[in-house]
Amino acid sequence: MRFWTLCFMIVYSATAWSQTVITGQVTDRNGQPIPGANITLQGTFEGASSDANGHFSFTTYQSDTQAVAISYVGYKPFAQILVLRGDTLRIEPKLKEEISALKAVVVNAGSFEASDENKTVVLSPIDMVTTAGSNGDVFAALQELPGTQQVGEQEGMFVRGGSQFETAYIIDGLLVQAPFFSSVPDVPQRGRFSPFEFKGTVFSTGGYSAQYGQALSSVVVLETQDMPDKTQSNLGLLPVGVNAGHQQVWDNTAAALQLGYTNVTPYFWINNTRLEFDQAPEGYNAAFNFRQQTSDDGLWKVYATYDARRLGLQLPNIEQPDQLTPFAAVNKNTYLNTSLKEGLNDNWAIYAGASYADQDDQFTIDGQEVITRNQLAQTKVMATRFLGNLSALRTGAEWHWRTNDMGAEGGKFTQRAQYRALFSEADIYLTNRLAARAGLRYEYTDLQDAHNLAPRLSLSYKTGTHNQVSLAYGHFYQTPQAERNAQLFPFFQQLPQLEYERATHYIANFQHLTDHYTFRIEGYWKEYDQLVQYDGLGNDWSVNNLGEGYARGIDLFWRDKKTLGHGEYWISYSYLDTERQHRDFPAPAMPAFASSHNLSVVYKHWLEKLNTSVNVTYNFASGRPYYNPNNPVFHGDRTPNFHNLSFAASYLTTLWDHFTIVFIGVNNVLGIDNIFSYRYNSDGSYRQAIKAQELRTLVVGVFISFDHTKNP
Amino acid sequence: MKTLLFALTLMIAGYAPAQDASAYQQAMQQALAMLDSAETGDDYQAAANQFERIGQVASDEWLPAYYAAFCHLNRVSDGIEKDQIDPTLDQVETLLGQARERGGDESELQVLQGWTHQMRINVKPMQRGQKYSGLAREALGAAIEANPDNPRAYYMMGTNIFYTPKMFGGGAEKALPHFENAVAKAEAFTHDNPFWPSWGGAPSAYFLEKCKEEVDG
Repeated sequence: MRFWTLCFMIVYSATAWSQTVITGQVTDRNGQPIPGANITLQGTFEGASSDANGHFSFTTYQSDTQAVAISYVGYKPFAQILVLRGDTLRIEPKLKEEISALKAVVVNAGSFEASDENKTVVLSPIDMVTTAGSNGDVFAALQELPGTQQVGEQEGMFVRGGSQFETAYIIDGLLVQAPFFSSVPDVPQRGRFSPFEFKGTVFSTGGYSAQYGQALSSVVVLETQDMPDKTQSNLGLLPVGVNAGHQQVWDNTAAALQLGYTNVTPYFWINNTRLEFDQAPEGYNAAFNFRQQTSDDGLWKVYATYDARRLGLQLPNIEQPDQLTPFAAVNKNTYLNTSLKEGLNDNWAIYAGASYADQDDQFTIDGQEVITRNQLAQTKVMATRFLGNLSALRTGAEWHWRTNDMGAEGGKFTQRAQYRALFSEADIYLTNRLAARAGLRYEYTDLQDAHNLAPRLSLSYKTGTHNQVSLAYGHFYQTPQAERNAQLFPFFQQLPQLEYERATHYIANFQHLTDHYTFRIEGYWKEYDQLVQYDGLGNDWSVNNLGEGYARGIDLFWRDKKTLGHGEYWISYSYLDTERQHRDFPAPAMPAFASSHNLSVVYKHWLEKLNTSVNVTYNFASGRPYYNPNNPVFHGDRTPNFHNLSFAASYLTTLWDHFTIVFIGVNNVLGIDNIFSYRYNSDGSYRQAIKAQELRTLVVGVFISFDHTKNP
Repeated sequence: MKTLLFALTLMIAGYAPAQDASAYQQAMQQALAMLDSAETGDDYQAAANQFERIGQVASDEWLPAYYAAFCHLNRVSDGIEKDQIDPTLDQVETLLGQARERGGDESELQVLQGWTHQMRINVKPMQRGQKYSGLAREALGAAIEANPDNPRAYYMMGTNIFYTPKMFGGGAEKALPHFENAVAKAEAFTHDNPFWPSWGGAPSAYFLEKCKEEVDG
């Protein structure tokens, strides 16, 4: 009996109980140690964790052939078969990094992104609201980024030597016909959309994706909020009006309605305007949102806005300085946007969107009535094939139907045009360090019977954990359209003869990005050709596509969130060298909206004890060219330099237990009387300076949000 | 001889499961000892690895995944590199999913889910504060609902409210009753399973004192 037991024990220990020591070092492909990796003898509880130097060692009583698995977050799992023979085994696993959105290089030449989730974000949506001088206007905050020009007398984004008509605005994938309120001479208008509607913004100053067309210089891509978190109501009180809204959230559905009334009359009591208003701007607006979660990865969105506004003022009369010209406008704008995104499976996702816009403007200038009505219907579809490791192929198509009506005393004209586009684009991630985006876009416009093929290419390479370099190249086309460019109205009937205008972009950038600091330097060279030209003197009412030009420059951006503790700041600087011959230019010249040097310094400070955010923005722009008929050199004169200091403060508090923001903003605190441009009479004997509507702009408001979720 | 053979057969036949069960007990005890003595992020990582190894073999048990998630949450709480927070919390959520599949206790898992949401805020407090604080409260509310006697649910809810600014409905005064609950429930809490979570009592007492000081002072 004892003998057998003994035998058994000997046999047992000889097989199962012989010890093997497994030891080694876990490193990445570059030999850098990986601490904290999990080393497991598969099918057993046995294993170890690597120490700070990646070393590990453990003893096992297992025998024969066993698999050892090594895993660590962010790396591909590693496995090795070992034969355990009761000695010491040394292994040197080298883990391969997984290509992950968090570590991978980002293809971002030319673009700035503002969102909550993406890591490459330079601005957050909160920045867009709090930046002094922006006063809650989506587009005004983007003007504090490099590549933009300070243009005080008209709305729109002037990017890298491009006019305001060269920037396209996209909401949920669809082109927006009228992103700003209808123009009033010399009075810049706000964007129509509230920054709170959007979860993310990409502002591209060049080299953008083949998904977007009809923009020579820039695209502003806005993405509306997904499912909101909670049911809540809000109320805003301002000297210029009131707005109120409610948002209701069900399990998979949400709906929101926002209504507003604006009347600038009380504001003029407290702040003098330099213009003489017969009818202070008065308007109504409504915004409706609907969201339906169609599946785990599916969301259907509807976003609709309507606004109506009227105003009347006396414009200076350049030919008879002692007289005024009455101007009145009634504007109505309807916008509807709906889109569906659906993730079909791990490999495929689809997008489908449609929008309709109707802008109805009725102007009366010196008793003459002009009516314009622009309608744009469009639809877009896109399929995305995921290729693994972040790589993806997107293919889509886009259709636009435009109807432009123009009516004046002389008659009424209508123009209809169809536009079609096809695009395909691949994001290719070769490693975490190297990625490329290559795309091709084909466009056709039936009115002009013209088509084009635009290649786009971007490359990004990560030179270190926090550094990357990018290159971008592409062709960009735009159809000359009267409704986007008031100067083309006289040529309404000749538009069919025109070709696309074209820009070619070359961009190189370097970026250093950490949690606390962002540094970017970007150089660009943009060539324009096929620009629309006509005779400015009205001798010859014919247009052609023979214009051309260039823009080149350097954009710098520095943001520091650390050095100043509770304060942070960013600095944008743009240098621009541009000349072109287009429109009515008699010779190549720098356009009147361009300035060589633009600088923005934005400072934000959080006063913790006062629950107040204090923001200051300083803008500088060197003088802009203007047309002086007495100077033989076209655009040979420059306006004085532009300076502006803006201030904004938001106080966060509660009113009757409801979260409340009290906001105050002052533009041009120092009261510098900037001159944007000069306007001359026809014989050049008299000129008027074009200045801001009011010396300082004041915005005050109280915004209350009513949270309907139960507090535990 | 027959007896011996019988014993031997029994031993060999019965060996594997018997060893597995006791090995599980032993491995868990060992891992929990590692967790108890953990002080640094590396210690928690090592304990998490041990729990993950146990979870891979003991594929019916939910507690190894639960504790692995708990270890990672402690690492994040103690402070890790900012760009590591999201990937680590993604791993936590994978582990919580695994624990749920294995029939894990709803209330205990919701506590960790709530904690995970709270930790997400650290990446970008200004942008994420509102969303993830709300999600955390939702999860913790569900934890209390699933088991009103779970002290950890009250403790976590208390910290959520404690660190929420007053104007968003937080603060010491509103957090205080939750810590009182947590302390009382922790004293009363017992469970048949020796490995059942039992943390939360001591920090609740600490926060309770802190709240009292702030409210009185």
